[in-house]
Amino acid sequence: MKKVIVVFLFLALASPVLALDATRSGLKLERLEQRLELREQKREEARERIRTIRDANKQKIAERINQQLELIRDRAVKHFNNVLERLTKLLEKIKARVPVVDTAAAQTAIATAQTAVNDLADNVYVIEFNDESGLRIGASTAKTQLRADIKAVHEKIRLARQAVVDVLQAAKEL
Amino acid sequence: MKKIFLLILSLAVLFTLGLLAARTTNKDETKTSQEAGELSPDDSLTTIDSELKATELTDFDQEIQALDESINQL
Repeated sequence: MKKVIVVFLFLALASPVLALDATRSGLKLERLEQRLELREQKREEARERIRTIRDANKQKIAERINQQLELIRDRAVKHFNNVLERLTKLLEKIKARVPVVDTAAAQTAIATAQTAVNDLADNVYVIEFNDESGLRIGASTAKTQLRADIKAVHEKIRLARQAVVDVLQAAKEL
Repeated sequence: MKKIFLLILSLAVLFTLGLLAARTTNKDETKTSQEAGELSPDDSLTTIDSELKATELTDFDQEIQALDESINQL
């Protein structure tokens, strides 16, 4: 009987901590799943729309463009994440070397850039059109939007890099 | 009674170990991705300066412009 009480006590004490941890991870996973689901839904809608194109050649080209848009977006996100990871590690190295240097501004800049990269990852770039005559404009619009979004993220990362350069400069002067 | 007690205890231990393993895996993954950055272990400011300068940033403009060829066929 005593042993049973001990076990239940253990479970009772451990469960809030474990539950909180599990809840946080669960919420994160749920949000990620929702985002992935939404992306997949939009992609599927785009595929359905393309299937309505009567001209087989244009259908092929439109499919290819959609795939290319997605590929470029994925490569950009991967590249930007790698750069931010590198900047974060370099900032940590500077801080380890010169602990008194102020890294707050650089950390904020990196965090801002990371949010922008995450938003880019969530966006879906596909050709929007009502009929076949609107395909070219739709493709051009999607391309322009992707370019503008990548450019905006690129600028934020450039600023983050500059912020790390400024920290390094400050560290050298200390 | 003894069997039930042992069963409950085993489940509790397994659950806790599972959570700990998940946390450790996350840390390991982070470690792996950090190692993939290929920075030198040397933390001199000169080395950091070189590594910062070597951090390339692409804007993917060329790849995006290359789409025009396909778009013009629509």
